[in-house]
This record gives sequence, structure tokens and C-alpha cells, in this order.
Amino acid sequence: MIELKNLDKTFRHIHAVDHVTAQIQSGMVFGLVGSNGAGKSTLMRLISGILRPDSGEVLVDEQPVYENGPVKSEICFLSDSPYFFSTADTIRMREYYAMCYPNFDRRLFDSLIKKFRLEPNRKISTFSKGMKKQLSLLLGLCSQTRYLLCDETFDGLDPVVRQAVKSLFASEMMKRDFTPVISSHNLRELEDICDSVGLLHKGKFLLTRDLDQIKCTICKLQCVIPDRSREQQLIRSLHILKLERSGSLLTLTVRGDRGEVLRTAEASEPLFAEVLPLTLEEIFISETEVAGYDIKDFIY
Amino acid sequence: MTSKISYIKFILSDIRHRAWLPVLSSISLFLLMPVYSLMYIDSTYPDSGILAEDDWIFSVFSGLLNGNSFFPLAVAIFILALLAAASGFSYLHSREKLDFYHSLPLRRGQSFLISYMGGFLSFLIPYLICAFLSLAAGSAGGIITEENALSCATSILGGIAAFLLVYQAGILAAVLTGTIIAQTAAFLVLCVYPEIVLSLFTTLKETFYETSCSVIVSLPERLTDLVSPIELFDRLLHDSATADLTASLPACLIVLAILAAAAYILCLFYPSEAAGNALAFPVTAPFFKIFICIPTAMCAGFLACTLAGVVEPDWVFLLSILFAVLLCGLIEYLYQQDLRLLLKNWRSSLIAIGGVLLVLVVMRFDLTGYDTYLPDESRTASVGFTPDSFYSYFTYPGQYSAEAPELRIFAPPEDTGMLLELAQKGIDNLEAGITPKYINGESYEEASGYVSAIFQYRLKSGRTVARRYVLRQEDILATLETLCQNEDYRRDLFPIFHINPKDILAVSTCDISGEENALNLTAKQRDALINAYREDVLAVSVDTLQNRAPVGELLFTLPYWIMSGDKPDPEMIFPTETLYPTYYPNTEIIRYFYIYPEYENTLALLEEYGCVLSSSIPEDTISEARLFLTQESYNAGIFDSLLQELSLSQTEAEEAVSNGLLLSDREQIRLLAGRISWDTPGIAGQRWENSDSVELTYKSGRTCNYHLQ
Repeated sequence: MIELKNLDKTFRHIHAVDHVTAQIQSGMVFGLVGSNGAGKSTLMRLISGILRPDSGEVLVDEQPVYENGPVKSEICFLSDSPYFFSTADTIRMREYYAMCYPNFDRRLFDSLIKKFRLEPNRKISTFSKGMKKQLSLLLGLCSQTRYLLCDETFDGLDPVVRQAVKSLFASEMMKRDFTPVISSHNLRELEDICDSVGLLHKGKFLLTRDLDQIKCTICKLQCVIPDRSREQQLIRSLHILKLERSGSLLTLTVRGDRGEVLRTAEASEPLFAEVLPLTLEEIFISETEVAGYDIKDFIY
Repeated sequence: MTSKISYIKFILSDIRHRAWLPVLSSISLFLLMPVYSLMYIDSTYPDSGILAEDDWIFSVFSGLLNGNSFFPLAVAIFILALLAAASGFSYLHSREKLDFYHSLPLRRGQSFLISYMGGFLSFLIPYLICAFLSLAAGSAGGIITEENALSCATSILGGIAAFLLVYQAGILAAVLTGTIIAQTAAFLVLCVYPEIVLSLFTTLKETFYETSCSVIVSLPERLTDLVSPIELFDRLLHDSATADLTASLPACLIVLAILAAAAYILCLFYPSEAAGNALAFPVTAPFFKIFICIPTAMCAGFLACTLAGVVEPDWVFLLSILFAVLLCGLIEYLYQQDLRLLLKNWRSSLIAIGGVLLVLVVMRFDLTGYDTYLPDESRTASVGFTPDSFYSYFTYPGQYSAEAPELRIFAPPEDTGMLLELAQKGIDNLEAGITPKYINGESYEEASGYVSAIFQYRLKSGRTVARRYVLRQEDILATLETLCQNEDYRRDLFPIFHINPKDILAVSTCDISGEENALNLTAKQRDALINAYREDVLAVSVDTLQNRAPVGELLFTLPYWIMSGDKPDPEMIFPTETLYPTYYPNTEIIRYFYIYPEYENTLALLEEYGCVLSSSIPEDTISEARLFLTQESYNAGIFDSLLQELSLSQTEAEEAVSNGLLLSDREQIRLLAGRISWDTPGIAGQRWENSDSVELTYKSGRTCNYHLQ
């Protein structure tokens, strides 16, 4: 398990991670989402022991990460812009990772690069950006570390490869104790793969919960209530994150159980009422809007 | 969870990742070491006539192993060290690389060690192989013997140490910074900063203080080439090639230990977010700015004045302030990379400029009382008193050594009070504006009567402090008169007592005609002559030494090592029973042992040996004369009567003032010959108040200058 205890990091005048406390359970896929500059990469780098926290601590399996070789040998960090030695080919990188990570699975790596059609003796510098990301993911996966931190590694992969990697993750999680932590802007992709997500905004977690739980606790209500006073009563009785009106159609993003929200709406005798689940993207937009990150600010 | 790593595997992997470095090292060192050594041996001895006992070829050869005798090799070692440091630690300056390396299950100390060893071995292995090949070439050529093999080993060791010095300075520069440009700038600062700071002490003293004199090598001066990496690099190569590492090796080890410890510790704390910033530790930015700016601005100010040929305190002052402002701007630009933010850290800029201003004000207005310093008599053990006139009047054995023999002469302790009073007169003169710089800049006539003198105060605390003042000639003479009453002082002062007669290889004389005559003496006659001269010197008055014209001088031929102050060379064996009347190789002639008319013992012996010194010049030996008059003498009409006797027109007289007037008429030559005197200095400076002279050309072709009376 990864525990973040009151973790704080400031770069000069930028408070990148602001006293974050959270837990990432083992054996689950954790998605890290957040606005640009929210502190996702910084948090990943803190977890992988690259950065030293200003205060607080990162515990992996109850041990601090920073400058702790044995703990770091159970974590593999894949940067958003992966680095490979200038003249290296995949075999050389495989050997280097094998030297660093004692459980590196060469056989799996060799079979995977064949499946992903990455030429073993080709210079990595001639690879496309997507191929480099694939290689980075395969190296990370074959390192056989308990924790794999992927910083926007999925971005830039084609849909087929993305699906294949998801399958690989699922397969690895079936076989061993494996916890991928994935940060991405592509929330639809995370929705498919993540068991739980952490929503980061301005260096703080707005929420960290299981995805199913999140989806159960936030929903979209569309209704038409002819009586204005009942409508107002409904609005007051719900925990509304966002309210939109189109003619007589009222669209509300509401925090609360879907069934309960529908029952409350029906008590207002609507002409029409429907409760819809929110996509992760919609949840992200709603939650960040509440935190003051409004899309309208960009448009108007 | 385990993290046992194989250092060897990681180091080999590191070398493989930057394979260009060992390849470059191998190729460059191969060409510059064994190949060049073979070429050198072949070109030096084209006929293969190798002489194993030839020390010269060996000393050159040992320098070929580390670049001391072959500059391109020294440059190659320097550049390879810099490249090794830059390539090994460049990951600190790139976020991608930093994320990669710092995410690996290695502690930072381990990463440091791996990169360090990778770079070092990339140089060391090719260097040792090339050194071995060079040694093999030298051995085949007969240059390397069992006796001098040790010197070759120290030379190789020096090459490695010199590499490490630059390598570690480069690494320290890398861990202090976040970009390659800042690393380069930091490396330059690390290399030259100690030298700038330490040499600034002397430079500023000489610029701002009138009484400053550099006769005593101060501690900062002594440290300059031992703490500055660039100076130490040069000295290591030299000292190791000559197998004398007594001073440079301990200094090198200390500097290496400091550089390595600093680099290692900073690497452990290197912030991963520093990549791309100028400085790795932003908190150090103002301190670096202040500590770099203050000495560098003053050094640049002095350098600019030197280049312009105007080393005036006021200009140094103004330019230093200007450079301080510019440097603050430059450093801030390096930090911020944005011209609009030049004033962002204005406080540190203000402190830096204020620091420069403070130092300059203290020195410019002598707020520490440097120029007026005079130790208390109770704190002074003895005083060394050396008027500048001694340099032209005396020649001592060891004259070519680093330490001037004149400055080793100290007055008897009982005369300390008198010398301190004399020094006070110097300070009074200084306060009246009569300074060494003043008399150097004035005309002969205005400066005559004044002599500058060095005082060395040997304090009871063991420290020696030196100052230079300007004194009146008569004050100096009065002091010398008192000092010379002490026989021990005379024995210290006169060079004849510093010469061992057995070292004298030949004796010659010279008189007013300027012609040198070798004396054909036996060793016994030589010893007798020296003893006679010593007796005369002990008895002569200071007045004679200053005001009388000598009738001749003695010249002694000595082995060169005596003049250079080196150790006796056992291989330089000179026969001493029979003296050589002519020049002999590896010898030097020492002169200015003036013979005054009062030197009865010396003159009697010379006469006995058949040497007659002439006090006048036979007119028939002169072919022509050139008359030089000064404008001051001409204007004052001092030589009006002479010009009339010579029947010179006004145009001719003006010619004598401007370019010198050539006279070949026998009568004119006769008249001039009667008015000239041997132009020798006195013990307390010039004997004349004017500098009018006559240049005589003898029929033999020699020319000599004489003073016109």
C-alpha cells in the first residue's frame, strides 16, 4: 500500500503538492486525474522517490521511499517523456533494467516486444513517440515491480495498443501483487481500467475513492417540474454541484445516491425525471468547477 | 526487498553508454603519448645515438608522460577531464534523465560513485596503457633506466592527479548548477576564483598603497598556486615530471578531498527539480553573486587599467565599481535568463556593489593605516634596511635566485631605534607627497638627492613586515655610516664576504677605460687578493663609497650554480689550482667590486701581480666622442664655458641636447676627455646631480659612457 501523509512540495513560489494525505491500496489500478498543473507529475515523482518532500512522507509498504533502494526496487516510474540511452536498442535497455530490477522477466519482455512488433536490434532513437511509450511500458511491466507508476504513459498510444496494455495489466494483476498508478488526461481511458481514482486540483486531492463509489455518489438529474415553488424546493433539498436550465428542462449534477435522488425528484411531481450516471470526465469537470476551475473561465 | 547491486556491472554499463569517451581518450592519448614520444626520440637522435646518461633528454621524456614537456598532452588531459565530468553528470541538467536515474533503485551516493568511476576509468585505462607504451618506447631508446624509472612513475601519477583535479572541479560545477552553461561558468569560477582572490591581496596593495613592496612572499601569494585548481594542475604536471611532489602532492590531495567531499555531499542533496535552473540550490544564489562579484570586479578593474596602461588608483576605483554593476547584471541574467528581471534580487546586487565600494574606500583612503605603519621599538627584533642603490652598487652570489640576497641583510639590534627613526622620516616624506611613485615619475634633477629604500621590520612575534619609503640621500649615508661601524654588519653587507675564494675560477680587473684584463693568478695569489680586498673594505669610509670615483673594479668568474643559488653540482668540477683567464662554460662573471684609491692593500697586490689601473683615458685610444646634454643643464648654462671651449654653435649645442652631438676633432676630444669621470654609482645612489654624459668610441671599437663634470 502507498500512503501519503501530509505530503507537501513547493517549487520556489509554486505550491505543487499541498499537504496531501491519501492511500493507494495494493492490487488495484489507481488513476490520478487532475487539471493541468494540478501536481500529478510532482506527486508521481514524490511517490517514486525522485523528489524529496518538503514535509510529510511517502510510505510504501510502511517504509519511506526517498533514498531507500530496497523500497525503490519495488517501484518502477515511467515518465511522460521516457529516457533511453542515446545509442541503445531494446536489448540494451532490457539488460539495463534487468540490472536495476532483480526480478526483471527477460522471457516475458522478449515475447512482448515480438507481439508489439518492436524490433529488438533497432536503435530506440529511430522509434516513433508511440513506440517509445510502448517500450517504456513493456520495460516497466517486465521489471516485475509491485508498483508501476505511469505518468501520462497511455497518452500517445493507439487504441489497439492501449487495449493490449490494459489486458496486460489485468493479466499481471491476476498473476501477482501488482498495483499500477496511472495519471492521464484521457479520462475515458481511465474509466475503463481504474478501480479507484484520485482527483487532484491545485496540489490537493478533491477526492480519492473507488470509481464505482464515485459513480454511485454523483449523478445527473434531468427533470421538468411545472410548479416553480416545487422546483425551488427540490433544488434546495439536493446537494447540487452544477445547475443548467434549457427552457423548462432542468439538468442538475447532484451529489448523492442515484435512487435517492430520483425519489426526491419524483416527490416534486415532475412531468419528467431521469437520473443518469456521470462519465469520469463529467465528474472531473463538476468537481473541479466546484473547486473554482470553471470551463467558462476559458471560454468567456 | 533487496537492493544488492553490482557496482562493476553498473560502471561497465556507464562506460558503454558513453563509449565515445574512452574511444576519444584512447585515440588522443595514443597519438600524444607513445606516437609523439617515438617521434620525439627519433627527431632528437636521428642517428640513434641515444645517451642514457643525458639528464636533459630524460627530464624532457618524463614530461612527455604527463604533458609537462608537451603542451598538447596537458591540454588533452584537461579537456578529457572536463568531458568526463560533463558527460557523467549531465543527467543532473535534464529532467528526463534525472527522472530516469533518480527513479532507479539506487541511492544517490551509489549513482555518484558509478558515474564518477565510469568517467575516471574511461581516462585511466587508456592513459596507463599509453604511458606503458611510451615507457616501452623510451626504454627501447635507452632513455629509461632503473634510476630514473621512479621519476617516470611520479610523472604518470602527476598526470592522473592533474586529471582528477579538473575532473572533480567539473563534477562540483555540475552538482552546483542546473544547466550546461551555468556548469561551464561555475567550472571557470572554481578554477580561477582562488587565484583571483589570493592575487588580489598583492595587486590591491601595490595599487593603492604607496609604501607597498613585494619583497616578502605573503601567505596568500604562497597559496595561490597550491589552492587554485588551474595553477595546481600546471604545478602538478611540472613537479611530478621533475619528481619533486613535496609541496604540490599534499596540496593536491587536500584540494581533491575538498572537491570530492563537496561534490558527493551536494549530489546527495541535489534537488531533482533543479534541472534547467541556473543554480541547483537557489538559496545560494545571492551568496554566489556577492562572493564572485566582489573580487572579480576589482580584478577586472585592475586588469582593464593595466590593459589601458593607466594603473591609477582612481581609475581602478571607478572601473571596479563599474565592473561590479556589470557583473551583478550578468550574474542575475544567468540566474533569471530574462533581462526584465535583472533587478529582481537587487538587495544582493546592492550588497555586492557595496562590498566592492567598501574594500576600495578602505584601501583608497588607507583607513587601516597601512602606509603610516611603524612598529613599536619594543616589538621589533631587528630591521632590514635596503636602499635601492644597493641593487646597482652590489652584486651578490645567488643574485639569480628567487630570494634577493640584499634583503637578507638585517641591521644589528642596537640600531633598531635609529632605523625606526629613519623610517619615520620616510613616512614624513610620504605625507609630504614624496613617494616612490613620485620620484620615479620626476626628472633626474628633481628626483636626485632622494633614494627609495625597503625597510623590513622583523617583529618579535616572528612576523616580518616590509615597507618602501623615499629618503634623502644624506639621511641614508648617515645611517650607513653608523651601521658600518659594526664589523659584522659590514661582513653581511659587502658581497666579497659572501664569496668563497675557492669558488672563484678567474679574476679580472677593469678601469676607467672599460677594458677588462684577466689576471693570471695562482690559487694562493687569488686568496691573498681576496683577503687584501676584504681588509680594505672593512676599513673604508662610507663617504668614500659614495663620493669618491673608483680607480678600477674586480671581476670574479664563478660557477653558475652559485649565482643561481642552486645546490652545488657535483658534476661541474672546476680546477681551482690554476685560474682560467677566459670565459668558461657554465660560469658567470660577478662584478662591481670597486677599488678606491684608499684600497692600499688591494692596489699593492695588483701592482705586485703586474696589473696597473689607469685613472685617466689616453686620448690617442679614442676615435670619437658623442656629447649628450640635458635640457635642464643647458638651460641653466652649467656647461656654457665648455661649449665655448669646444667652439660649438648654438645649433650644435641644441643637437647635443636633442640627439647627442658627435665630435671627432682631436682637440674637442681632448677637452672632453679632461672633463669626464667614470660613471659609477655611489653606495647611496647617484654621485651626481646632473645626468649629462659623453659616449666615447675607442679605436678598438668599444664604446663606453662617462659622466660629464
